[in-house]
Amino acid sequence: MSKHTPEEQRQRTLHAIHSSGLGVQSVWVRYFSFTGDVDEFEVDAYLNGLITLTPLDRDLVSLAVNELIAERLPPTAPYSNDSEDPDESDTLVALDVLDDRENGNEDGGGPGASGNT
Amino acid sequence: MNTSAPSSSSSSPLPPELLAIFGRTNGHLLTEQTAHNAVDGLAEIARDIIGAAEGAGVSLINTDGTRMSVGATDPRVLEADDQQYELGQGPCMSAWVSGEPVYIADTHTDQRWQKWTTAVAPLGVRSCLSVPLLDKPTGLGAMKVYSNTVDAFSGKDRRLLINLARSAATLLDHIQASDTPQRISNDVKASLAERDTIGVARGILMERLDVDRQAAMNHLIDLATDANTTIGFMAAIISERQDDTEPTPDP
Repeated sequence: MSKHTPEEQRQRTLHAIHSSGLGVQSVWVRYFSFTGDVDEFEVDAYLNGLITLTPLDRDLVSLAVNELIAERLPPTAPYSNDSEDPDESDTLVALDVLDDRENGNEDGGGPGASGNT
Repeated sequence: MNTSAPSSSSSSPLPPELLAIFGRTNGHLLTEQTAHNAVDGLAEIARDIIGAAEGAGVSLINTDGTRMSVGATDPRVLEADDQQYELGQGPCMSAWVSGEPVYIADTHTDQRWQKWTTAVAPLGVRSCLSVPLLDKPTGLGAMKVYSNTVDAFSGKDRRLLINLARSAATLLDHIQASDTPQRISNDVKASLAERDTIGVARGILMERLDVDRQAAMNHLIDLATDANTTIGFMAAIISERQDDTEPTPDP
C-alpha cells in the first residue's frame, strides 16, 4: 500500500469532513481528547491547506474524523456466533491485539484481520 | 511491579481559557445581554433592508407564549409589541404560533385582531408585516416591520424578511438553552478524562517499548486500528491492565 502524501491526506480528510457534515469544532474537540496540542484555528488552517502539521497531528485529526464518522453510522447486523455483549467482544479483540504485539507478532495484517473467525 | 504509572506531561488544573474555547466552539457562551444586543441589532437590520419600513422589532417568545426578549428600533414599535402580550393577540403571536408570515395591510379595516389594531392605530401603525423566527419545528419568536401608510409592504419585502428571519433564527437558537453551562462543563470533563486516559496509556507504552511520545502515540493508534476499536477504548484497556498482577486475559 503506497503512503499518502501530506497533501493527499489533507484533501481526503477535508473531503471526509465535508461529506459527513462534521464541523471543524467537533473535530478539534475530539482531536484535543486524543492529546492533540495545536489549537482549533491551526487545525482549521491545516484542513484548508494554509499550514502543515506533523504526521502525528495529521493522523490524530484523521482519527478524530474517522471516530466521529463511525459514531454516526447506523447500527450493523450481528452474526450468530457473535458475543452478545459487544463491549465484551471488543475487549477480547483489543486484548488479543495487545498480546500479539507483545509477543513480537508485529505482522498484524491490518484492520479486520483480528476478527473472531 | 512498577505501580506508579507514568503520568502525562500536562496535568495542570483546567484553565479558564479552555472553558472559553469549548464555549466558543459550541457557540454557546452568549449572555442575556448578548441576546438583547442581538435582537436590537436585528431589528435595525430589518428596518434598513425593508425600504418601506418605518420601524421594526424582534421578539423572542418562550414555549409557554411569554415574551423573553425584545428588540425595537423606536419606542412606538416597543409599545405596539407590548400591546400584543398584554392583549394576548396580534400578528407576531399569530406568526409565532402558526409558523407562517402574517400581513396586516390596514389596521383600520383588518378584522382579525381588533383589540390590537384598535390599540396601535393611534401609534401610527397602519400596516404591519410579521414573520416567524423558525429554527427546528418550534418557533423562537417573530420579526416584524411597521409602516404608517396603508399596504406598505410588497411580496419582495416578505421574501426579504423571511430570509433574514431564517438566518437570525439559526443564530438565536444558540442563545436559548438554559442547561448550556452544565453541558459545556460535561463536555470539557469528558474530553479531559479521555485525554488523560490516552496520556497514561501513551506513558505506559513509552516505558514498555522504550520509545518516545510520538512513537508511543503511533503505536496506540495502530493498536486501536488493528482491534477495530476507538483509541480511547484501547487506551483504557492498556491503562487498566497495568494495575493487574496477572497480565493474561481471562477468556
